[in-house]
Amino acid sequence: MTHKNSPAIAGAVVLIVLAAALPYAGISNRGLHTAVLVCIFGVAAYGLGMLYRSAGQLSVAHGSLMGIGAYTAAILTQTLGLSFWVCLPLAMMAAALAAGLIGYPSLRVKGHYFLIVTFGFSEIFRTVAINWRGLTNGETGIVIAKAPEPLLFIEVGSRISWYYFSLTALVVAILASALIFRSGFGLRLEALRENESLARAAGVNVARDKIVAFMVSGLFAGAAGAMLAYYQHFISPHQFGSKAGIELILMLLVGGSASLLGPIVGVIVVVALPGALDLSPSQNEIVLGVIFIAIILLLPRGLISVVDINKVRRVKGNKSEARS
Amino acid sequence: MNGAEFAQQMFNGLSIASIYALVSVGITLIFGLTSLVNFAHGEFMLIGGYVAVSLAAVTGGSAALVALPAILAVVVIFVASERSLFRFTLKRPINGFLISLGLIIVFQSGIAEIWGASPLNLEPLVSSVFSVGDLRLSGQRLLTIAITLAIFASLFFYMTRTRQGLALRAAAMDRETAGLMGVPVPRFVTLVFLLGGLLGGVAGVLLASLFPLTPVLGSHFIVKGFAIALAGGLGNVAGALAASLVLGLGEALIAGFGFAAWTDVTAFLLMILILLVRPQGFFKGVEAPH
Repeated sequence: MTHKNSPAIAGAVVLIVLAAALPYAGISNRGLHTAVLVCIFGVAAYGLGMLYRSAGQLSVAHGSLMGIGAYTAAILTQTLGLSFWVCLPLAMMAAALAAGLIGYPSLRVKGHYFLIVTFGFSEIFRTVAINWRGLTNGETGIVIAKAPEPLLFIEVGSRISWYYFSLTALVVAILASALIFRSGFGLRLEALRENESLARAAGVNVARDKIVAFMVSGLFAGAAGAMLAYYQHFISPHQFGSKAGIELILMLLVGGSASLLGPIVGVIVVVALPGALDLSPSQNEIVLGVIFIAIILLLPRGLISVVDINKVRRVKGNKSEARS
Repeated sequence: MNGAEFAQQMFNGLSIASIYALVSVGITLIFGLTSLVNFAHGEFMLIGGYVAVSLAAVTGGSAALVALPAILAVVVIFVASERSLFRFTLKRPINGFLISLGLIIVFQSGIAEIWGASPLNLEPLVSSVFSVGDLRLSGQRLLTIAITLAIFASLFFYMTRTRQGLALRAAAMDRETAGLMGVPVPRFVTLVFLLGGLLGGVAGVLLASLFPLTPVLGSHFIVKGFAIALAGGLGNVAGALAASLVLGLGEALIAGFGFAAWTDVTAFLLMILILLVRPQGFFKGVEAPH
């Protein structure tokens, strides 16, 4: 095992060192801002990717799960004055609970019908966030003025410290999703993804494992949401509707969900494109939508399948094609 | 709520139900033949409304000059999306669904790019208001209901009394067998997209004269339209009509009690509940979600 994995580990270490050196490579302030967003959305994308790659479930609701994390952190900070370091785990737990609830219909509703359920959920979240003004401040949104409090040696305030903090979170998220994929739990998920009734007959507790997979991916989304709220200093309902969920799917599928590095490629493409092309936000969305459609039709394994041929050969067949 | 208020809400509900019916019957027709759920249906419809608003500003509001090109634009979008995208996903409906999600992003942003995000209105084609007792019936809403009734009367005639309609229903029941009996199924796939575009185009123009248009309005109508198509049994036109009536009138009642902002949540919850508890709908459709 160590033999087989050592090139991958070496590659990962090189990538992390390169990423850590980024602020010293003469990157602009705007570029660094983009990099922070890449890391934050990357955490959520790996949460969704874990769910898709292991259990074969896509969901439009993950944008709203980020929203639940963001609103939990913002509301707790504003009303109770809690510290970021208390809000973060609470936001993760709130998103995980909601994710478990969303996962429940997946036991009964399959394929694109389940995606439609999650679409409905994300629109419900947006409508509730707009109309429950007492809790969410409606369309005006919530402002978080303060930065995370210093914790031991960690101080997150400046843009560069945000970069290192979010990069660490992203590396943890990637490692966690890789470990889950290789664990016994990941194996059971893979079994139920390939053939649910066979897995059930072989003794996999399908209901429990699926719900747990949703909850774990909710933890990722909640963490990303709480970080986004504190980093942006502002959240509003429209950031977390169905469009946000579609964009997360876009990040996942544009890069390719079958390999470990696929999602991050997608996140970089989606988040960094506006700055690189210098388009207006809506023009940028149009370009992304067109790319997404082209990928589904022409390159269902994602952009990474162009570079990473060995990986594709290893997971050959239709395993990595879009499915839910 | 007294009797007159109740009747007023029912009348308003009937005009909203007309729009729902036009949208959901299009969804149910397309699904019946292709098993495709095109979530960009709402955005396509919205284009019709926006084109009508732009044309009204240019031509000065002659009904034929405004409505016909707008409906035509929607038909073209529907048929073009089938010819260039959806016909490649007939074997994998989930990919078709994902593509339609991409189309939602493209069209929502495209609308915001061209027409901006602030609400736009179409001047009503009929501005007179009729009074019957305490009731005030707006001419535009009456026209909406009348047009919808006329459209569905001709649709029913087409589907039940013509050979082509018969072949269409046969293909929806069993694509393969109908194909073996000489029904040109691929041409019918394009045809249902054309029909869906026709209904969607009319819905878009009527919608523009009833509600202010915003770029995100489409996703509300698609979720509701799909909920209705589902409740009516996917593929079942009569079921979709009945379910539209129930949702339109139900929403008007909820709004009448002062919870207008929450009607959308009710519809979404309804959809999720139906998918969970009774995915085959309340009327017989061609296929239950599984």
